[in-house]
Amino acid sequence: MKSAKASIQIIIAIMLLVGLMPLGNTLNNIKEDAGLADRFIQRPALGFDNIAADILWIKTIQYMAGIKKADVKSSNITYEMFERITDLDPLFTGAYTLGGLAIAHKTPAKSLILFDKAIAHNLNIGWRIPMFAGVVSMHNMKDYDKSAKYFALASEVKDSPFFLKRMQALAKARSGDLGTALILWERLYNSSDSASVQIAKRELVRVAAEILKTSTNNKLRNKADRIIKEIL
Amino acid sequence: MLAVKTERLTKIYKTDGKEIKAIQDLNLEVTPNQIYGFLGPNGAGKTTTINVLLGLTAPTTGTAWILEKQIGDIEIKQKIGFLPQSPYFYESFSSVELLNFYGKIFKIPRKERYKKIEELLDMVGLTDSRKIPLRKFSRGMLQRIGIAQTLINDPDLVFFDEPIAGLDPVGRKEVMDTILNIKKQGRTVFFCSHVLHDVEMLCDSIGVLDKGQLIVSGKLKDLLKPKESLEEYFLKSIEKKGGEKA
Amino acid sequence: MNIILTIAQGVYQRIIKSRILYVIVVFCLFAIAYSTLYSAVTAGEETKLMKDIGLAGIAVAAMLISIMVGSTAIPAEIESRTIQTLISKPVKKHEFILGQFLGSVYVSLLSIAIMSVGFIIILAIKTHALNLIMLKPLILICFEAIVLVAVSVLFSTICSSMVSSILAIVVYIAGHLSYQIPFLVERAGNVVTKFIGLFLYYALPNLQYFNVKAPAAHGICIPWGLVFGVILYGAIYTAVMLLVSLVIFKNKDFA
Ligand SMILES: Nc1ncnc2c1ncn2[C@@H]1O[C@H](COP(=O)(O)OP(=O)(O)OP(=O)(O)O)[C@@H](O)[C@H]1O
Ligand SMILES: [Mg+2]
Repeated sequence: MKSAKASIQIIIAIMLLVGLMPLGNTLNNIKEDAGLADRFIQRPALGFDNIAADILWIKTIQYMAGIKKADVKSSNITYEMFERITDLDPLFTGAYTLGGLAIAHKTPAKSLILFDKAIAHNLNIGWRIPMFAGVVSMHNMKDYDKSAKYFALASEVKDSPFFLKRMQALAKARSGDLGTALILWERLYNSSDSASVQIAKRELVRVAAEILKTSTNNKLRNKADRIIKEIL
Repeated sequence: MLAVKTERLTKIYKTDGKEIKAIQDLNLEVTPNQIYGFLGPNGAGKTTTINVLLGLTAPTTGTAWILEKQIGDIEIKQKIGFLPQSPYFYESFSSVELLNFYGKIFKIPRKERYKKIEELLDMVGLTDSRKIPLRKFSRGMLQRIGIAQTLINDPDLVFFDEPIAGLDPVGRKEVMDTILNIKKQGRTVFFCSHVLHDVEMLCDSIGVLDKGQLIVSGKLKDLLKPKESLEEYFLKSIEKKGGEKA
Repeated sequence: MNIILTIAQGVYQRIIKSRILYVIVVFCLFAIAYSTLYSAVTAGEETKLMKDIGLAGIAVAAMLISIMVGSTAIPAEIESRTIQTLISKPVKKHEFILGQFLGSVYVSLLSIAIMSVGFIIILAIKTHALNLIMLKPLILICFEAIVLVAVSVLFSTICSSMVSSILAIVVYIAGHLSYQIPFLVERAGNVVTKFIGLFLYYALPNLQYFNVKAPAAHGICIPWGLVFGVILYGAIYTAVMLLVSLVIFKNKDFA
């Protein structure tokens, strides 16, 4: 009788343990949806990863303060440190921002790797990091297409400032995709943001003139033509 | 009605593949309202018997009844008290805290509990050291608070395992007086000892255990010849038993 | 009054008189207060750092206290043989186990509560705001402590307090790493390794669920669904531990 009771208890225990499997999967899904999923990292710190990140952060700040003359080598080291920090604490936006901007001058490609990591790991990243990524691609990488993509991303963030859309159009124009640039400026021209309308007016004329000068696409030329006439 | 009855009670300990027969086919009958002395040399199986009776360990075979209820029935425990051999209590507790704790285990209502605690402290003479943590108690004081603890639930039957071992003469006297007092309150006392002189003064009847088997039992006054001390009788019966076996 | 609660209260009364508990709690609060002095080298991240240190300090202290208390409660009664007196009274074995468990949990939660209040106050002084977002990670730290008490109680029904606290620490470490097992299993070719890996993954408590310290410190919203889900997870795991302890304890002798 006693052993029967014990076996029932053991069976209940096992059933409960089995019941934890679907519950665990549900929890994983909730975490995934909230952008809090656990990721595999090489050297985890037992639930104290963020503290490890903080210690490394302080060390990195001290390292950066000690750099006499920034070069590619120190920039690479800085990058590695920020990689590790953000491995340990993928939500640490401050680390992506500081790291990405600090190494943008000497190693812009790595800077973009950090910004990309931030964007990949964070649901609510805000508009600043994509904006920084856009600026770095534009100024340091001269990759205007990519830059336009980052600005587009930044401008889609809720409550992001309006100038990001202008940056996107600007980058598109510089990338040589005059057709898209024209569409973007036209949209801004018709928007309710008065500062943008003024700038858009000027830029539309400039892009349209550029099209008329260089493009062989007749449809585009006609559109540019029409716009210039409309504005002037 | 019997206070304690055992039927072919056997307990075999298995340690390192070796079997130790702590008690063997024990048949005991203890009538109520008396002091029953459970005697025997070291290792005879006295503590084991009590442990089985109290459900601290299960018998290998056989069974027993306490106050007409078979062991294992949790109801029994409402009506008994127990003082373990060389007892040890929560050392950070004071006497009052300890008695209060056990009183709550018996679900004694607050007012009644406090009254009972005062009575018991008075009975064992610990009223003045009520607030002192038990860690600072002497052996004798520990033994006395241990006895008080057995009475918190107004038991019909109390088990004392070596209550006077290791006490000085004054301590022994105090404990023995307390035990007599408990009997006067109409309770049955079942107590183990090998301090025979004391047993002789206290007990109404005895049972002598040797190597796990009961070799003598009965009323003390029927067993002893005039002027014979229990000590002499005890040694004689154990020797006789040994002789029979050899 | 209920017997289980009486036993729990007894556990609490005994532990509360031990000094080590106060040492841990005070040390933790001191560490949190000390972390406020570090703002010079944190490059504008001082509140994040403070929150990290506060939560981590409380988590470590909670782990130490729950394992210490949970793994000593029962062995202390057995070694000092006070259990004999207790079992000779109308106490059923499950009441004994649950009482020891609840008493240990109560002590752990009380210490966490004290540390948490201290932390929130220090944080409020520093940031001039009541950081109630910190409540979610603190709640989950409490439930992790409950699971750890249950794990320690289970070990302590088999081993000495020393061994069970070591085993419980091993479970703590493994429980915080087990979330990595699926990633490793994916790469493992061997079927046996896969099986063992998955077995461990489901048998060990996934303590990483209870760790929402980082998002909270970053001010990221943690969904209540997650909090309640994790609480349910902890409750079920605790129940399993207690059931197994009970089965083991039922067949134990106290002579
Ligand atoms: N838990 C146990 N495991 C193994 N053997 C035990 C256990 N408890 C008692 N024994 C053995 O059972 C026998 C009887 O022991 P018990 O303690 O009952 O004797 P006792 O009459 O109380 O002796 P004492 O006067 O020394 O208290 C002894 O040989 C002892 O070694
Ligand atoms: Mg004995």
